[in-house]
Amino acid sequence: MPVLRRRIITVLLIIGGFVVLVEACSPELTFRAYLSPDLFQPFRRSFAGITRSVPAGRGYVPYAGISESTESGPIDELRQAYRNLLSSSAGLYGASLNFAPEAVEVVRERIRTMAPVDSKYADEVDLLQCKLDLRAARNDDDASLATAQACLEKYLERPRPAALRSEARGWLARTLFLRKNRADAARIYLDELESPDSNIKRERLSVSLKMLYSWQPLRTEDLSAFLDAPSHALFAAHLASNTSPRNGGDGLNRALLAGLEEKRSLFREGPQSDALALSQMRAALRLGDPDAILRFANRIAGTSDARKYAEYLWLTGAAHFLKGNYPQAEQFFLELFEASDAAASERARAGEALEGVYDRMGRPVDQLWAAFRVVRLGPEIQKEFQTKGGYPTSIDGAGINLDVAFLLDAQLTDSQLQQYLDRYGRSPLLANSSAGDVVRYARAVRYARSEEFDKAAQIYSDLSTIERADNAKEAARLYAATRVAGSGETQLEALYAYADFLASNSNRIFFNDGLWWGFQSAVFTSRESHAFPKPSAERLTRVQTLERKLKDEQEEYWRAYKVLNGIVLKAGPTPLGKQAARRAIVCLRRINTDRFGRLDEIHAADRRLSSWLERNEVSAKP
Amino acid sequence: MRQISRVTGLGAVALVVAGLFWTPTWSNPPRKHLPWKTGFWVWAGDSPAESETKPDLLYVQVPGARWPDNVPEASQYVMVRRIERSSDITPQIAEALAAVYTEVRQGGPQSIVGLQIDYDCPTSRLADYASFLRDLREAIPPDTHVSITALLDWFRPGTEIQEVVQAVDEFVPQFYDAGPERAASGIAEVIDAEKWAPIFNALGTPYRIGISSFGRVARRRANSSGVEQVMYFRDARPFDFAGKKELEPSIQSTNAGELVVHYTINDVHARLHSGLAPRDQVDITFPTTESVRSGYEAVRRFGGYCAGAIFFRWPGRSETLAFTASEVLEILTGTSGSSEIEVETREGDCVSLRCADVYLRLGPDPASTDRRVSVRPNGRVEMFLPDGPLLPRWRQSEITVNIPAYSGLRYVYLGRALSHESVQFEVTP
Repeated sequence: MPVLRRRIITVLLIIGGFVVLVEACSPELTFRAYLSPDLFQPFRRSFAGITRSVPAGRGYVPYAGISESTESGPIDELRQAYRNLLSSSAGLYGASLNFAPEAVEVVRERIRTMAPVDSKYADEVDLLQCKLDLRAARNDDDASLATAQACLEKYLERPRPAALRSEARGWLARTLFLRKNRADAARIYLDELESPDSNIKRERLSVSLKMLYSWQPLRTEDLSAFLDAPSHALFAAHLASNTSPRNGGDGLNRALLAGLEEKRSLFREGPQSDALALSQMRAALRLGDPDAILRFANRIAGTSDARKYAEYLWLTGAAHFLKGNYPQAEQFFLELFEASDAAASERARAGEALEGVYDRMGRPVDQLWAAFRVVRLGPEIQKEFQTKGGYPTSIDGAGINLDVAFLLDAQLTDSQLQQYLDRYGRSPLLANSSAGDVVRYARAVRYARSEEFDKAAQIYSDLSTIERADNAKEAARLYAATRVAGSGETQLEALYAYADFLASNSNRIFFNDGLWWGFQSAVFTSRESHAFPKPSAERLTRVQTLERKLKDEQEEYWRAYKVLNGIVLKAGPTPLGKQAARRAIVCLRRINTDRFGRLDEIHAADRRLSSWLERNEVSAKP
Repeated sequence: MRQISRVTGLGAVALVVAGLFWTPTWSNPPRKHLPWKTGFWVWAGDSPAESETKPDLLYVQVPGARWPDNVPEASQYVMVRRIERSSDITPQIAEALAAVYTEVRQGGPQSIVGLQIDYDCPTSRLADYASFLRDLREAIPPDTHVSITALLDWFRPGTEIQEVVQAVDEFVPQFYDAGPERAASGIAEVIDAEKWAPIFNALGTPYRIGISSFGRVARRRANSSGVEQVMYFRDARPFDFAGKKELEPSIQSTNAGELVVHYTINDVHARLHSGLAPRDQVDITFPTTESVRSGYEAVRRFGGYCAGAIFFRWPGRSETLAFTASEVLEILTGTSGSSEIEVETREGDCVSLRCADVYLRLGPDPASTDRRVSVRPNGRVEMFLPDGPLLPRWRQSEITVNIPAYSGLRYVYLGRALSHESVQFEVTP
């Protein structure tokens, strides 16, 4: 098989070949994904957690009162006394972090009466005092908790070793939590997460943060406390985005959006600020506020890397699309489409969105270009999902792509096809194959439909599609014979031969066999039976006219029927006329009306010809 | 005269003997019957699910000394304090409990009416427990409605249960997890009114019956000696297992009408949960409309001092294996949804566009077959943001989801539709 023919077939196979192997489901079909409301959803359902990787070299030291001493002496005895508390019984309230006051008093007494310790231990002893205050306090006794809080705050007023300072902040956060000041507690935990000097393990900080709002959700009135730093605001955004609408999520997100609109300074501090802006873009999308998406998009500095993130480009493009700003939408979708470091499925969605932009802007040639480019991403999309798991869907650019088919076969005019070839020529579709060849093939099919068979044959020959070329040449010969002036009988016989040839080559003359893969019905009938909500009458008429024209032009049996019917009318009840009638009936009955339509018309023609035959067969009998 | 004296003397002796062996039920004044109520336990741990239903009674577990912040609304509340089986029940503990109750009540809503002690006392120590309850009664404010949970084993002949219930205003026998050990599958106990009503009513103290309305996921694993050990997963859901390739369920019903779905885990499925390994057995017990309804109908037949039913328990926010209060009450009143699927559209609070949050109501009982459901809007939708566990897809003007059998989903969020005009959704036939 010639190389180019093989390439064409490969291309056509690829166009049609992304069948997603989903059990018990029909193959995935991609057709005008930009009309599907779920195309513009964010790439990720929730943004990544706020904890980042641990700074290299981060180690931990034991807390005050816990470490084993290397030398005996007062500090060692004090530490031992404190460690003994850890095995105390929990008591009535069941909290393992509280100890019986008398047990705590024993340790306090030791501090009061012990010999002076080396000054290097003074900070540890001071912190122990505060920890004992907290241990002695009941969780529901605000006065005793206030005492513990005051002690810790006073402790932190002076310079302290980093590890002890960090530990004290952790205890302060706990105290604040017990005193129902969750926002201040959260801010301390968040700052410790950010701090390379923190002596509190990340897992513990994450659990503490999670516990702060697991029982009682974040309230709108708490939000303002978080609007002092990007990392704090990001935490609030994380909570708000995870609060369902039934639990007041919308109100929370609206309040946070409004609060952050005023806080421009929070968006000038680097990656955390950018993440915050992105989070608000997502929230604004969810609240149906494309203007807010764009306002927060503009909060990201022009030089920031975040302006190249797929999520940023996607959401900004979506906002413009929703607002009908198609030129602006094109800019962002195009940038994402061309971003080599974006995931293939993200680029494919950008391509599908671009098709929508070009459709709205009346640029079908560019629409075809975008559709081809989406198809080209097919192998990369497959690879992406093989790595990450799951099945790609049509909005990921997977499945049998019918956009190319519809654009090439139904929508674009001949001159638009030529414009594509002129503008994009031999732009690659896949390695060693060309979208231009697919367009040329479609051009050849169109020539055949308009019975310019010689031109069709020439293109088929150039593309080395031998069978098609041979069919076109034979069609050209037979068609030419119908144009030769001669006796009526001769011309009718030539017409019969032409019609018979068409009827004997269903799907091989006028039908573009490489584009549809048997799913044309799914597109056409779906448009007719699922035209809901209905497009405008004008658009519906225009599209339906296109489809009707395509259906008529591509159906060999219908074309043959019309020629044969003409012969019946002209030849009358002669042997040729009856032969034509019989052949015409066969053609009518072989038309796939699911795809073609005109069911009533076909049945009526069948009945008419059948009755005519019956009348004329009867009258011929002796 | 001598004849009369002899008869009188014999009669007196008989009376004394009878008095030694007979404790008449009216030795204490007859108790007032309590009004019939339906209530729920709210257990500490997970934030309670929101509900539009306001039940008669909530029994709220309070581990500390402060009333929890987001307890669902109810007409009345009873604070519940759990005492571990291994704990000592001393007069000091009774006094401390009374003090805590007083403090909680002062800081809590006006409608806290009582205290329930949840203590799985060993049957042999019921006399101590009765003494503890009397101490509590003396220490606690006199208008407190004192209640206790009760194990069925306490009611066998020859125990001190009478003493125990006399010290309280109400007892609540629990007809779930009634065996000596908690089982891997099956929770609810069959409620035999003919057997239990005479026993409970004879005690002369009002009672309400504890009924199960929750389910559980359990893992059974054989150790090296072949002995099976059971572990319960609170963070696993039926949906985590439903519809998974090559994970075939086997199904049974319990005597109480619950549904048990069983899975055998292989190498691949061990990845479904961090606590799973190949060859583990997973049992998921589902409450059903049958198990709840039959339990409640049995309770209605108790008569006497029976004053209602308390359901264990009010679900947590993320739970799918416990019926909500609304669902329970619908089952009891016979208005429970059928297996028909319904769609619910709730208007969101959006800015420039209208937004509609789309939910599916799938019926209270787990379906035995996979289902594919489509819903469509009655107007134009500009954007659809899928959400929830079912990964909804927009296909040809419809949202389509696949719901595996035994998923345990009853009310599921599909996502948010944004539009210029208000839209409603309907299930496509």
